[in-house]
Parts: sequence; structure tokens; C-alpha cells
Amino acid sequence: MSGAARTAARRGESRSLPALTSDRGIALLLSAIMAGLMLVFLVMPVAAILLRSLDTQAGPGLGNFAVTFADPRFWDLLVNSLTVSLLSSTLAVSLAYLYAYALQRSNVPLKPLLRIVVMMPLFAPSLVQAQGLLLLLGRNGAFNRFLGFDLDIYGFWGVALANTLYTFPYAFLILSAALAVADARVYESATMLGARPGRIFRTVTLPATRYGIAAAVFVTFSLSVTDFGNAIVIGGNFSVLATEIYNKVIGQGQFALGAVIGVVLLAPAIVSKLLEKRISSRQQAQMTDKSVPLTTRANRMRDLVLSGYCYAVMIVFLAIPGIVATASFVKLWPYNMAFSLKHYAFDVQNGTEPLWNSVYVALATAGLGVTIATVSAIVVQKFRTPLSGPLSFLAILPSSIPGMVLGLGYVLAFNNPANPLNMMYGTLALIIFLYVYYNHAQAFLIASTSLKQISSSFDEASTMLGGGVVRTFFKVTLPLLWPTLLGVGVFFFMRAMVSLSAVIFLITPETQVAAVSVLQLADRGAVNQAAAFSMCIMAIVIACLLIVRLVLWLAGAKSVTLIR
Amino acid sequence: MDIRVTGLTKNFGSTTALSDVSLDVPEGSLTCFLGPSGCGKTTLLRVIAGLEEADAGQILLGDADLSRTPARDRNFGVVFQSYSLFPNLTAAQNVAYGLECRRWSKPDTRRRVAEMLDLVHLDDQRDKLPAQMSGGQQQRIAIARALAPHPSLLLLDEPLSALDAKVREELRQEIRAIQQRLGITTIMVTHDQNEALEMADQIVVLNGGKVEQAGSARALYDRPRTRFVAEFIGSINTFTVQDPQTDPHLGTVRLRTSEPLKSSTLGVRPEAIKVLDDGQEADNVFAATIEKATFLGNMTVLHARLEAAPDQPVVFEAHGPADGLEPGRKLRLGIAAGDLKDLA
Repeated sequence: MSGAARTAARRGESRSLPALTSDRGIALLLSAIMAGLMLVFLVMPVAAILLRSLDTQAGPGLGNFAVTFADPRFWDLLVNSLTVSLLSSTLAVSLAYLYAYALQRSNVPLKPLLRIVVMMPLFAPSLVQAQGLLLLLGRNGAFNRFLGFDLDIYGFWGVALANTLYTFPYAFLILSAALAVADARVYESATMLGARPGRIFRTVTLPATRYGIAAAVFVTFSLSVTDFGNAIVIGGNFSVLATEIYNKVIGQGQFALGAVIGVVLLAPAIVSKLLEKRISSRQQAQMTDKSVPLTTRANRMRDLVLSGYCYAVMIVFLAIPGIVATASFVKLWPYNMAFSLKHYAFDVQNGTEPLWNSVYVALATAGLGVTIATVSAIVVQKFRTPLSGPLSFLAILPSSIPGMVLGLGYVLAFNNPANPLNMMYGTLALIIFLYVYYNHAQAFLIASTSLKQISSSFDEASTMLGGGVVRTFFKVTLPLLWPTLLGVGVFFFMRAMVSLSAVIFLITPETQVAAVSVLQLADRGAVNQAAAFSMCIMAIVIACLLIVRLVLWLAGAKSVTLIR
Repeated sequence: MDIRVTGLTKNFGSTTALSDVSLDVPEGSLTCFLGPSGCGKTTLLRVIAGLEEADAGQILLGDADLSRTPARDRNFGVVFQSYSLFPNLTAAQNVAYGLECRRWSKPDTRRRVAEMLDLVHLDDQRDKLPAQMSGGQQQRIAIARALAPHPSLLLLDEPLSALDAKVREELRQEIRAIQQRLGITTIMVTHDQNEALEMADQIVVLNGGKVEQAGSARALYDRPRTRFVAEFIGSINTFTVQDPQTDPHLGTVRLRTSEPLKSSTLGVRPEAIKVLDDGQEADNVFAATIEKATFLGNMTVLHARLEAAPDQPVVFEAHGPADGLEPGRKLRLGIAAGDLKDLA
């Protein structure tokens, strides 16, 4: 048997167990259920957007695109979106690279603290960055009011800065992983050949992490280009494509034109996703089993400089939630700074209902999301059914769809009397499914990776001992997998608590969620109450992280990643 | 019951892993599938286990055709190369797994688990998790686990290759002892000829997805049918013979063989080549010059050149320090007619 045949043989082993023919029924049933759910909650909404964008009064055609592209305003918005996203992406990746470098390759003190503080933006809706920046640098911000500055943060720079802060943790996570692995032998060779630190960085460190940098650029860029919360809060008269969809749909009810911009927004997201995938697939095999892990040597000067940088960054990331917290605890920012808890009474709108809605939705999303992502991963990884191929493609499709676009697709698909599932429109259940499928790609990949790490020989051993798929799953796979799945649950919970743009179109007074409340309060100028609401969201997310961390610690599973 | 395999063929894409494989495994015997890596031996084991489906062919257990029976209903025990003990279950729970799948009662299960742990001498490790045991202990638990449900066939997939030399030696004997005590029909895959020679009742040599030859260790060593088998089991000199069927010659020397030759390839085991004293005769006698002598302690390996066929080097052995057999020395080598093996 040649090498190719052996590879094929190995692929055969891990991909399928023909021996499970008596479990064929279960495999087919689960595959069909997963495929059906994906068709309804993923394919149909995307199709609805595409169809609606082609739907003109004169029948199907490119009329809407023609109208949009003929409007000079569209090109202004496109330029705005691209420039502001390029800038914030460049800033976020450069700053995060140095930060990650300091944490991975030097001896700055208090690394765990530095690591967790820059994760803060993940614990709150994106627009908290804009909220905090306004409280710091806005017309009524601390700098202008109390320190005598005269700054104007509204507009391009405000959005760029807010998105930089918002996307920093995503870039940091990717770059940190890229910098975490290094082969000491290469560094030793470079040193022995006489290279100075600057040259080593340029010729060894940077090339080894270039794929990570590219991935970070793509991720931060597509997050910025599709984010709408920051732009609407701090943008002032500066509009971008994401805010334009909101205006077209919510303001003017022009669904078709909104759908056109949705399609336009899909393009950069899909392109950057494809490039990222291509690039990351080449990143393998930098480390072999012969590699020697790099250990950090002492260097006082370097550590001092990097510590200074890290603590400066940390202060910025503490200042944002800090100022928001302050605003939530004073009577009337910035005029009456006396301590008060009255903004936590939430005597507006629906009171605390949106908060409880969010917790309920987030918990349900976590439960349903983990189940769906795990079953999809099992169906794709372990069963060979005719549906496995299409399923594995659909499973990672959502990562290239901006939340706002998917959300609009849900409205178009489900707010349609012809749809038998029309009764789901206006319910929290639909929001839960939206969150599940919006975040499906990442959860699916985590679950698949963990499943792959569980050797297929366990399945085979169980089969040979007479165990069926169900028994194998509950007796062997699940006990090995549950800490990871709990981590996936936390991921779903966090995203559901903080996502704003995905649900903005699906909200009704009965199905208000917390992130949208923050937006509406901020929009109305109720700065303090908006701040209080943001604080509650952050508190819930952090509480969830702490509880799960404690559970995992008690169970002895300490190495599970919770923040992704 | 006997296992009979007929006409098994298995392709992975365009590559053939098994091509028309047929063999018999007699009841109660230990059969080794031996071959270099990539020869199809593991695929053959997996097809017999039911973990891979053959494209063509039959697997018979006694008279029953198992080809369409799912793996989990075949009641075969398998020990994998990498132990594959369930890492979340203790030794005893691992052994009990197959019994639970078969819905044994609690007391029966407990009794059988104790019996099995006793069989592999690990009763004191019953509550340990796999990670807390050594490789050898894990593999013994894996054997106990495979044997617990009274399988009709035991399949061992390179069970010793992940262990270090000393443990491997011990476990070889232990597996053979258990197999003989229980009288269980067993198939073992290995690439280690010593393992096969030591343990097997029957060795099936596989190459390129085909059975080269099957038989006892002795039969394969004494009567290899192909050059591949001759070279894979032990070492052998091969010579190209002129006019094998009509008037066999090796270079200028006419050959005397016990049976008429069919092919032009002839094999001679190194130990069959004798250094002749003056006046001593043999069926075939060659004048030779020693080119190299390598002292290996209990023997000396000698490389020589035959005057009759200088382009075909020959290797043979002398026991102990071979005094006077240094390079350049001329001597006579004798080979008995029966030691000339006709290799296809």
C-alpha cells in the first residue's frame, strides 16, 4: 500500500464506521434534523436577503442595486466604512501585537491581570466602548468638563477609536496564540549567527507570526465594517454602511434597499473570511515534536519598557468600564456627581424585563447552541451520511455573515405570512435560534476539534465490545468532552448577552433584550441609565464566567478556555 | 471455530489495500499477520473485525458468513496498538464495559471482572485510571477487557509495538500463555519477525495486499516460496542461476539440487554455507575469497566473493572468533543440495 493509500485508510478510519450499520437509522435521523434546522434558520434567511435585494416593483431584477449604486451617498458611506475599519483594524492589530508580545515573550509582572483586563470589551455590548469614550472625551465627558480640554470626539475618530477598543481583544486572542508557540532552536541559531534582537524580531518572530497577523487583520476588519452600535452612538453625522441599513429599515421601512446594503456588507466579510481560511490552513506544522519550547530570558530594560506599555493599555481598558460604572452611580452625569443608586431602579420602559429576557435568552442559547453544535460536529465527524458534506459547509457558513445581515434575513424570512413558521416571529424563541446560528461556526469548530482529539480508537474499542453509538457517546465521549462543551456554552451565553446588531431588527416591546435597551437609552440621552444597564450586563457575564470557572476547577478541569 | 477468509479485496480510492486475500485460521491457534508497514495486514485485521468493509470476499466463522454482520455483533475481542482504554473509566470499569453492553447481571459482571483482572495479574490495580498505570499494565487491562465477554476470536493489532523492549518480551510470553490456556482463536498483526516466530502457530506473510505465503514458522524458514518471504524471515543470500530448468549453473559451477529448479532465483541461508577443510567434499563446492569479516561476539559474519560468479557476493557465518578468516584468505565453501532454495 502506498503512502496515499495509507492516508486514505486513516481518513477512512476516522471518518466513518461502516460497522455502525445498525446505528444507521440514528445517524440518518440526526443528520436530517441538523440539515433541516440549518435550512430553516440559516439558508432561508440568507436566501430571503438575496431575493429581497433583487425584488423591485417592476419584478425581479437588479433595479435596487442600480438605485443604490447611482446614489453618491452610498459611495461616501462605503468609503467611510472602509477607511474607518482599515484604521481601527491597523491600530487594534499593532497595539494588540505588542501587548501579546509583552505577555508571551517577556517578564512583565501581573500577566493574568493584564490578560483579563483587555478582555473586558467582550463582556459588554460593542457600544459600551462608544459610551465610555463619550463619557471620557465627549462634549459632557470628563476631559472637557473637569479637566478643561476642548475635544470633539464625535465622528470618524470616535468611531475608529471605539472600534479599535472593541476589536482589540479579538486581535489579542489570535496574536497571543500565534506568539505562544516558538521553537527555541531557531532563536538560538539566529543568536549564534550574530543577529541582534531587532534583526531576530524582523527575521524570526515576525515571519513566524505573519499568518496570525493576517488572521487578526481580517477578523478585526470584518468586525469593524459590520459593527453598528459604536457608529450610531459616537458617529454623530458620520455614517457608515451598517448604520445605513438600520436607517433604511427601521427609519424608512425600505427593506429592499436595506437588503442591497446587506448583500454589499456580505462581500468584504466573505472575502476576508475566505482569505483567512486559506492563510490559516498554511499555518500548520511550524512546531514539530522535536521543537524546543522557547523560554523567556531575563532582560530588565525590555521588561521595563513593555511593562510601561502594558500598564498604559490596561489603564485605557479599565477607564472605559470605570467611567461607565461611575456614570451609573451618580445622580446626573456630569452635573450632579453625588452618589446614587437610582439608575439601577430601572423605572423606565419595561424596567428590568429586558435584562431578564437577556439572561433567559442567553441561557437558552447556551443550552440549545451546545446541543446543536455538538450534534452537528458528531454528524459531520463520525457519521458518513450523504448529508455530511453539505452539513460541514453550512456549519461554518455563519462566520462570514455579519450579525446585522443575518438578523435582517430573519425579519424578511419569518415576518412573512407565507412562511409556516411565521408564528415564531416576535418571540424570544426566534431570537434564540438567531443567536445559536449566528455563533454556530465557532462553536462547531471548537466541538469538532475536541471530537477529533478524542481518538477514533475509543469508538472502535467500544464498537468491538458491543457498544452502540448512543452508549459510546454517553459513557465515553461525553465524559471526556463536557468541560469543553461547558466552555462552548459560556461562549454562547456571552455572545447572546452582548450581541446587538444581530437582534436589532427582531426586537418587539415584548422581546426587548438588554443590549438593545442600552442603545435606546443612550439614543434618548439617558446616559446614566444606559450606563447602569451596561454595568448589569457586564456583571452578569462576569458572574457567569466565575461560576463556570469554579465548577471546572472543582471538577479538576483547569485548562478549558472560556473566553474566545 | 475456524475462521475462513476467501477472496477479500479492499480498495481505498484508486489504491488497492487487499487483493484477493484467502486464508484459514484454525480453531484455538494463534496466527500472525506479518509484513512490512503498508502491506495491508492492519487493513485485513480491521476487515475481519468489521471496522472496515471489504469490497469483495467473505469472512466465515465456522459455517456462518459474517461479512454483513456489524462489528459490534460479531463478538470479537480487539486489542489496539495504542491501548485505547477509556481514559475516564477505571481498570475494572473498562473490563466491565463489554459485559454491560451485553446486559450481564451485576454479580456476574463483578465475578467476571475479578476473574479477568486475576488472569492478567492486575487485581490490585482495579480502581486505577488508565493514566495512572504503566504502558504494559494498560495493555494487559486492554487484553482483559477484550477477553471478558467470551469473544469467539481475539484480534491483536500490534499490541506490543508501543511498549519498551523488556516489557514487550514479558508480555509476549504472557499473551501466548493466556491464549494457550484459554484455547482462544487469535489473530495478531505484527511487523516484528521475532515476535511472529516466537508466538505464532501459523504465520501469514503479507506483501502489497497479497498473501505471499502462510505456514508454520519452521515451514516458512525452511521452505520459503518467494524471495520476499525468504528475506523477510531471517536473512538469505540470493543468486541468479543460468538455465535453471535445463542445466542450472551459478557462474561457471554446475549446481546439484534436490529438486529440479523452476525459477532463476536461488536462495541460500548464511548458516547453510560451510567452510570446507582440505579434502572435505559437499554437493556444491565453490572456491571463494574473503572480502570482509565482522566480529559480532558469538559469531563472525563473513563476506566473500565466489570465483565462479564474482559479481554475486555471498554472506555466511562462522561461530565464535573465526581464526584465520581474514580478508584476502582463499577457501572452499560447501552447500548441500537440499539447502538450495528455489525462490519465485
